[in-house]
Amino acid sequence: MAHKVVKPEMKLAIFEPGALEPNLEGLVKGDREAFAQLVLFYNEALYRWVARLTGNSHAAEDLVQDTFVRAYQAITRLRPDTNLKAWLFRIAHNLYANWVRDRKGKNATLPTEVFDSHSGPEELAQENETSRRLQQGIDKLPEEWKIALLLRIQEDMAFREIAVALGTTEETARWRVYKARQKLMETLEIKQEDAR
Amino acid sequence: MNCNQTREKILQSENISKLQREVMFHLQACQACQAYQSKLYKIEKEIVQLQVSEPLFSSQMRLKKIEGKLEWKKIITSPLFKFRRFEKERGRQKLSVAVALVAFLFAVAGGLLLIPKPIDRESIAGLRDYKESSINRASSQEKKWQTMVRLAKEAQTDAIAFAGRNDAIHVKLLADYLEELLQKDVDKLSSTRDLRNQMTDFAAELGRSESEFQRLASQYSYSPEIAYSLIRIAQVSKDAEFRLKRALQA
Repeated sequence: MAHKVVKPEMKLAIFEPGALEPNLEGLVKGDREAFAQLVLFYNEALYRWVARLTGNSHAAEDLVQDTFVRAYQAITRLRPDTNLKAWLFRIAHNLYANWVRDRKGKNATLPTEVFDSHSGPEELAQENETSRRLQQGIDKLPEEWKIALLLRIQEDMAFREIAVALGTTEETARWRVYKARQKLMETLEIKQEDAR
Repeated sequence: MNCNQTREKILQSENISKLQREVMFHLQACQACQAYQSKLYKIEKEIVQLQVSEPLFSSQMRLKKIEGKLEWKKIITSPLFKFRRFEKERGRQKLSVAVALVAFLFAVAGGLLLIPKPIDRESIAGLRDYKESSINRASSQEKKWQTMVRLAKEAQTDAIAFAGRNDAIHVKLLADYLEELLQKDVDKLSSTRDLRNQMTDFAAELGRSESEFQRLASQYSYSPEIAYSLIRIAQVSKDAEFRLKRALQA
């Protein structure tokens, strides 16, 4: 009997409930209301992505805050065809790259936080094991692959948008996601075999 | 499409639930690839569901914090301040352009002075130019003597090299040049008491050259032109040595 081909219904790119999509025209004019919409609309998505990359909520908070401040300072440079999401993630990516460089320079280590879960004890144990394996697999990915993969899967960004966010080409973005998926499949396959 | 190609396509696809038609055809017929796609789908779903630590601030709170920060920035960047900063920046820009221009001009001028002219070793006129400019550049009498020694050594080395290549024309050219250098130019140089040591050294150097060129000439019996030019170099070296010694005795 053949398996049924999966038709996923994944929940992607969760924005603040009730937040209105920011108005680009208003932003360019320096409208504070439009900027407030921008913050409310992208705050959670940015935080989620940066927190996943840094593994630390305090660092993620600071980076998201700086991202919006930088965005405000550069808002007059927006063009009518600017992809706001990709533009914001690009700012965040640059700040994250600086953060990584600074940490390397200081040789500092931050504790990776254990993330909250709302499941029962047994489910929690199972969930924790799965999540731990997955998190390890993601952590082992080269930085650029991990960044691209999370933008694609977690933030549901198209390769074209990822390319803008990372300042690269669409083909490079596609290749990084491809390599990340391939590596993740290999890693998790091996881990499962080890577990048996 | 085989299994490898199908899996490559799955990994490359933007959305693994919206695959190309040929990939879907393959999946319907291949359980292994279906399992592969399902596994990747499951992984991606789990990544989305991975818990992230709760943000420390709500979005509203964040907005207030950012606005607070931006208010501060607004005070700093009042129109007057902006204007002043603009003026200052323009001044700095002008200054940096001027500095860059001056540095460029210096670099060009310095480069032109420092780049040595190529030496024309094909004619006596070219060698004469080289000799004149070298001697004129020497700032003191002592340096002029040092230049003279260097020029003579260079020409002698070149003559030996050309003789080795059986190039009679160039050996003759160098013999003419050395004749001029060691007869006329040496006599033009001042021979004061404080230059005694240098003159003595040069005379000794010329004495050694004379015997070396005599020996060398004897090896070129098969090429009378080369041998003749080498003997001429030996003779002018000997003459110059003699005149230097005489000057020293006087």
